[in-house]
Amino acid sequence: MTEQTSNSSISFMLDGQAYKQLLLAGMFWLEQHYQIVNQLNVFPVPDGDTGINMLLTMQSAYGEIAELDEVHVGRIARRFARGAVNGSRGNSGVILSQIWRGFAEALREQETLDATALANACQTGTNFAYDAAPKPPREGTILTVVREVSERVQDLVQNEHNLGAVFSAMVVQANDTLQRTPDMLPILKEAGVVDSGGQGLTYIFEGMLRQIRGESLETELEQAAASVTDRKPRLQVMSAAEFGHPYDVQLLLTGKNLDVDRIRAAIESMGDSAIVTSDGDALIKIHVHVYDPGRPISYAAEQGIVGDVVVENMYEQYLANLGSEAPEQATLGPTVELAPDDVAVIAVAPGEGLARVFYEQGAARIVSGGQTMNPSTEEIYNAILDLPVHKVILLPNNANVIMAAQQAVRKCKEKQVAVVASKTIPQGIAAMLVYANSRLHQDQRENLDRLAAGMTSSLSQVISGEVTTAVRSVDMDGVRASAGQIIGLLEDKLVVAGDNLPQLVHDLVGKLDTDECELVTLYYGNNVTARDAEALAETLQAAYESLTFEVLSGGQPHYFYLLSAE
Amino acid sequence: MTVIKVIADSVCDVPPEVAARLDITLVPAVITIGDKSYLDDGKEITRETFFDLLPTLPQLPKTSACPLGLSRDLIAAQAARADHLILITAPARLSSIYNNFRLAAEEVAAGRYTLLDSGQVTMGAGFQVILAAEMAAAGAGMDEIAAAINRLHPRTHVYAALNTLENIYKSGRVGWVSAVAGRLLQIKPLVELSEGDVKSLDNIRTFKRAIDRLIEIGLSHGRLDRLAVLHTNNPEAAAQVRAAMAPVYPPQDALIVNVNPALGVHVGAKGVGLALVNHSA
Repeated sequence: MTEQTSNSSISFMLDGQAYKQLLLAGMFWLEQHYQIVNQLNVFPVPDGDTGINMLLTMQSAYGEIAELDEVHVGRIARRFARGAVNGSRGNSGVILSQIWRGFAEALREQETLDATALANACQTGTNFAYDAAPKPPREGTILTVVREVSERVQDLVQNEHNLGAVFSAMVVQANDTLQRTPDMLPILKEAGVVDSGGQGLTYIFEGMLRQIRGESLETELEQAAASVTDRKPRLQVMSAAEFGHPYDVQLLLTGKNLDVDRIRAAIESMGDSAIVTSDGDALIKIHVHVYDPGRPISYAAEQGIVGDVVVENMYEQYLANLGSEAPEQATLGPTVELAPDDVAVIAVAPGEGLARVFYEQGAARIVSGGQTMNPSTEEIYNAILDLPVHKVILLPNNANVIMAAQQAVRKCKEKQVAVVASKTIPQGIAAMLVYANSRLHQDQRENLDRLAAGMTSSLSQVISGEVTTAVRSVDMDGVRASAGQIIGLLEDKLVVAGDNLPQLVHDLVGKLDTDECELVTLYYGNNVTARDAEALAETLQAAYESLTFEVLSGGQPHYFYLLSAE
Repeated sequence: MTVIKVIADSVCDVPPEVAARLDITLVPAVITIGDKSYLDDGKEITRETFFDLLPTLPQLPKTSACPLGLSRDLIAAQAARADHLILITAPARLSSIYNNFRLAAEEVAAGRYTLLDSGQVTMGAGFQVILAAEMAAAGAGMDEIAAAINRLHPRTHVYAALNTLENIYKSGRVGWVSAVAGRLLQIKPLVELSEGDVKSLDNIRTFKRAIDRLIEIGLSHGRLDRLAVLHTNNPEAAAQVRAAMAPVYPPQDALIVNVNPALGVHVGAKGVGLALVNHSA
């Protein structure tokens, strides 16, 4: 009962089989685009599932009619709705299934589909969708899209009976409504996306329109890709540190009797994503992600003849793809916002990296200093006076600074000040965590004595270690070291001495009671590169599986590493 | 006597043996890993398998309410053998199951059901389900049961020590997490889950201390009426916590529950937690 002229976009009436083809096209078009729908996520992470939920609902619906030869539109619509309901997934899938239920209800007695019947179906579908939605119904969603489409169709069918024209108007309206969803729903605007459920429904209507016009249902890939970049939600920008190995290195290595397993092991040790494939023993293809692109190239050049070298900086590409500038290095300064009644913390720390850690946990002021450059009482006193609060806690973070801090307290009559006698940086950081937690609880952030007591009790939670150079020959705690050698201390006791820095840190970690510890943090000094520190941590992690190793830039002078174990 | 049957979604975490004993119907949620879907019914995929898999997956699995057809059939089966149904779900603002139950029950048990939004996750909701089933079996009426659940709600607390920030960070649903995850220092947060919110109680550097703090908080509640120790594939930690809670609740009566994937996907593997009900004065 299909009545069509030679122009396939003009049709006034469809039978059940033609209607089935429309539904199939709607599903197919959604299938081509469901990942775009998934990406329209109000949360800044790539885990949206609206697209897949709507697609699974459509597949379940179509599964009910796929084998049907039925020509009665009403019966096709009823079976399709049943499949949709049975397979509906997620809120958007449930609402979609109810739209199809509404269609089925309105089309029940329809042998064929015409413009008036379609208008009725849209109307009933809208009603069912609103009834099914969580109360109160939210505008700016799939509900608004189906409602405004329905309203448009009601108007149009007064004098337009060509189904092609009606579907065309539906798609135009759906897109128009969709673009306005961010104005109706603030979370969409914040996320920079249109409503995902509304987008899914729009794709279904578009597929139906394409079918009725006899247009291709193959996606124009470029167009789809363009629409992804247009609407990609704003993702958080990874820092270089989070990104990891920035360089992608690819090269061909030719030579005689190449030992592919040995080469693979060597390449794998340099970075990640290593792929080493061989074509016999004369040609090896190498791919690896590394910090230093020179390493795999130099290594390969030692093994044979190197060719076709490609080096790409993936982090730069990542930033370019985001269309953004490199994230600015976080400025060094306090992160805490203090009310006049709050307790503030002043910490003594040598080095920018350590200052950053203290600021991040809520220190209001850092007084620069430490082992070889103790700050004066005056400097500490001035820092206390300078803060816009009346209650202050001092973290000296060094045994040689504690007395100056106590003196500053005696000198300061204007404010309430307490010293939490941290002897090391790791102790100071443990105390800082207690302070940071107190700020999570409004009722605790104002009580100086209780806070100072809590911070003091945390000092014993960490074991502090240091790796530095012996300034003179010593024979102490049963360990002998000559001047210029590297030495390792735990809790102020000399425990290891040697000449090889990585080996010495391994030995130092070996002196810990590793059953009692879970986390070892290495703060590397200004005489150690980030890469060397990372490499050391990797070998430590391999040697001590039960521990977690954390590497941070401390920036302190003289000390290769400060170590905390807890 | 009016026969009342209780139906809950699997996210309420009532252990299967308890559900069987109290004739509670559990409607399974759907877990999608990659392009494969499983019902959280302990058969298609066990929770142990799920949490073993979780840390290895490049993308977080997705979870959703079960198909409307399945909840309708399960509800219809209970409607046929009861005068009235009590349906209890995870918080409506977090999950579509509340709406799913409403649509299904309207179709097959119209006028004969009471739908309750538990406002709680995991055993926080599970305790309401168990209480409802216990009271229904004892012949209590619907009003009585609803009132008892209302009284239970404010006495219920759920806490968790997370072993990883990765999942809750990837899930992107909790505002404060990105600030914590972006920090220089490793953090194992201790959180309270209530009304669908995740509130940070303490940022702790090691999991061991996070467990100590969890126990400390649990004990601070004093004598308890109900206790479940929650975990995401960390039975050792769960056993340790249950033993440590002995001063306020008999260990042999405390349930140990491997948490559902819908919540677990955010919490991450190897975490441990407490769901408890304060003693009513």
